[in-house]
Amino acid sequence: MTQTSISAERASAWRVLGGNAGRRLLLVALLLAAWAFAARGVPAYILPGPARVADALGRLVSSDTFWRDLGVTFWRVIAGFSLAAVAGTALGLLFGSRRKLGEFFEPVLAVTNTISSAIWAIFAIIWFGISNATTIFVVFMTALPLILTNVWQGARSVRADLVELARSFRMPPLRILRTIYLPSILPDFFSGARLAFGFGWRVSLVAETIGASNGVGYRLRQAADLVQTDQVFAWTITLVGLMVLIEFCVLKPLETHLFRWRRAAAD
Amino acid sequence: MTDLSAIHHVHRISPERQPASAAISLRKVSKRFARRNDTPLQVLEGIDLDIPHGQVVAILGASGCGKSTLLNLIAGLAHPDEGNILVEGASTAAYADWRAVGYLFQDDRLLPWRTARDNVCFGLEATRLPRAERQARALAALESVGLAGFGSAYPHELSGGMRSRVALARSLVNEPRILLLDEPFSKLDPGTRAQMHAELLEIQASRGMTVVFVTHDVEEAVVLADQVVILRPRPGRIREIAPVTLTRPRAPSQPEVAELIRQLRVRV
Repeated sequence: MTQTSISAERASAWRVLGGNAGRRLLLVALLLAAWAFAARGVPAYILPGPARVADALGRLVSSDTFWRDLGVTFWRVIAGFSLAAVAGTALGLLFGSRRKLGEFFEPVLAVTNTISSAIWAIFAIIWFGISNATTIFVVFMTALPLILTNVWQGARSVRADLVELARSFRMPPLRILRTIYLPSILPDFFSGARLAFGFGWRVSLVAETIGASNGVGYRLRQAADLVQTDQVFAWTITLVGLMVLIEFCVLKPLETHLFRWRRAAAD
Repeated sequence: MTDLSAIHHVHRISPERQPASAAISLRKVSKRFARRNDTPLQVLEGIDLDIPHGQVVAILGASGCGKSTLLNLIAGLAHPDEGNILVEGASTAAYADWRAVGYLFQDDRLLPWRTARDNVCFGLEATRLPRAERQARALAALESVGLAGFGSAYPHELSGGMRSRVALARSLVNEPRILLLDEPFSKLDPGTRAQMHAELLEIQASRGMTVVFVTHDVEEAVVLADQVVILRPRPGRIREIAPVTLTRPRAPSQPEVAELIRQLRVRV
């Protein structure tokens, strides 16, 4: 690829982004206007207006427990997600490379997929009580099948000719796993992990509303119990903002970096 | 060039068989593949072959005569049902120095997620060399196949010919004494292919490598090889071994080369 085509590509990317940013701002403004219009004359405990929510958001962010609650929820999600990523990748590779074993266990995955996260939350309360483990378990059980399914799929489509190439160099099996299998499944892992993280984040709140004494989910339930609807809105906006931030500051750049080798193939 | 053809000549006229001195020797090698609900398929039967050090040998035959299987047996990637195969005097089961045996596949098999340099490095990753040393050797190997400055390019950014060169560099980076090629460069256009042939011969001559390649193309066999082993299909057996004594470089347009190609074509 030549220098000029790269810079031309960047320039057009910026134009698209600029246009996009304009359209996005317009969309946000429209939604805010619709919200403000709908909130007129409605009691604040049913639908608080944008100004009132902004005020609640300001008070929330400056409160003592805000960062601690956000941090503890984030930590639980990361813990459950990381465990699921490790277990899902290991099992997915195993089932994908040992076809018979995979076929044997496939029904378990199908059944697990039908179980609601709320049911996992109830089991978690029974088994772990009010503790970190409850939320971590629910995130884990939600994220695991998603990552496992994707890695499994990826491991099944690892190119046999590349494995044969590695064997011709007398690479030991573990090295083949690292040099051929892991890079081959990375795109599938990434899409599974992105999905799993989003789901895990959402179900963590459900788990925390019933099985925790701190964290965002616990605060949400508290706000609901006290009919502090503006607080609920403020938390919602915080979470949406956080997810957007993670998507654009972590996941997108990471994806671009990891899959730079196939960017031109996608054009 | 003249020196080397003289060496080849000595090998060729040496009358007695010396399996220990041959780079590769096969004795009564047979191979069967199991088939579902059927009798096993006899792929190769009673192959006897000695390949002297430093020679270029073509294994020529129509598709389905077991020539790729023969190459995989020599490479130790598959094992014979009968007979034995010696590589540098040791049976393939006992041979330890597989790094000295390079294998170039029909397609380039570059890892799409690695740069050209790191693809060449792949050939060194079963060794204990430190990373910096591997990378330096990979760059040197790329340079030796005319790809200096392309180390950071990804495979999709390279032409078919360049990709083949990267694959060749990957096979050469371990400095093999024996190079096995399975229908090399067969997916390239004729011009690029002829160029790759010339470069391969140049590298072979300068290193004194033993080269064994499989092909269904008589012209390719005659242009490259010191000996052409013609296989007969179903089951694969050796029909004959034809020496090629024509001086190099050989071009299909030369009358004596064209004549030999014509003669061999009748016998394949």
